[in-house]
Amino acid sequence: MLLKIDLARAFDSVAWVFLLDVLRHMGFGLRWRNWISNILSTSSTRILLNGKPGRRICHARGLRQGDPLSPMLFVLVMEVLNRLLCWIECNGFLTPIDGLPGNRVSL
Amino acid sequence: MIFVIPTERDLLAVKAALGIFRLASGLFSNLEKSTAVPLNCTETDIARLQAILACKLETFPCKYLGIPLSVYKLKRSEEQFLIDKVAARIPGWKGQLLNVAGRVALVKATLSAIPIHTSIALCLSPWAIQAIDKLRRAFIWAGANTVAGGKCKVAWVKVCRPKELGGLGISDLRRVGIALRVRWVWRDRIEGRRPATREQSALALFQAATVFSVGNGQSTYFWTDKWIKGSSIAMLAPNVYAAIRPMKKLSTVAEALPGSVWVTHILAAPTLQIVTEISLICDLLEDFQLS
Repeated sequence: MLLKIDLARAFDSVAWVFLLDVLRHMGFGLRWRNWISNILSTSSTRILLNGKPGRRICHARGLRQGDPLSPMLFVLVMEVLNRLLCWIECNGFLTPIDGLPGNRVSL
Repeated sequence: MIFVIPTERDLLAVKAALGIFRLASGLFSNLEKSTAVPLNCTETDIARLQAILACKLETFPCKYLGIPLSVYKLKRSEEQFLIDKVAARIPGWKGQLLNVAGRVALVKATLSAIPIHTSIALCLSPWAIQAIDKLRRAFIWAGANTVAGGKCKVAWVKVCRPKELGGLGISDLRRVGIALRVRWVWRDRIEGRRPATREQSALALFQAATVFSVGNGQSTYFWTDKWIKGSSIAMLAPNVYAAIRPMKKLSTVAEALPGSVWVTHILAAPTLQIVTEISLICDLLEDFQLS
């Protein structure tokens, strides 16, 4: 059976803490992670109400829309789901599927 | 997209995995908008799926990343979306106000580019290519959706040639598609699998465009790949190649070369032609060593 999972507001809801953790565990260096966290944390939102911009709202999650780096970061995040399913498979809670070793999730 | 075997345990495991992933990353899966495509499933499997994951059911062909996925050949109605997409572009452009050069530029940059994404994965059927060509032709010559034959100043085949050969450099969708799909053959061969695609023209283009340099001979095909002096044995000895067992056509150099095993693949009476070709192969292979 093939499941197509729809992630609700996928880009907007990636938790930064999680993303940076994933990057650290995948062996990205400190300097690179600092760059990424700078990119993420410099984004903010203001709501334009009756033509007047409101106060700045800072974010805690979400990748930048339209940034060429974002899809790649998102793929790294989704790789965690793949690893998680593989781990579950290794521990015997999922029946392995022939021909797809270590590759259950595709974006 | 996740592949699961629909037992109760597996479905629960996937659900738990999605739950854990949601807690960790903040990405929660919208099960109402997710879909499941049963592959070889029974009614009870489907009922179990809906009890546990409660997502919508879908059958083939389903769209994945904008490409219709299917287990059988696509119907006309399933390829129609591409033609509609191309046709929808034309009315907004006010084609009559542009000159031909401008329209050619638009066709090259947009109309020809729309089917690319789909034809990387799928071989578009001839009628779909024809329908798209009709639209492109009409837009170039008349700036509209349709054109009378008399208005077309140059035959379409000629228009599709590159500029150096007297055309307008409009891409020929069939050939572009083949060229795009050679990547699958390439990837399979690079990763040492047998090519999964059965599209003859893509395989032929791959054979024509690559030269192998043999290392240990595990991934080079003895008969068809170009590995000996820039050409293949099938090219050097066509009569012998026509006479080998069909099962052995894809044997590798490592299988066929040591101890001249390849001679046993031949399944024909030794006519003069075949014997001369065999001796030719022997001469070529004489000083060849696998590393």
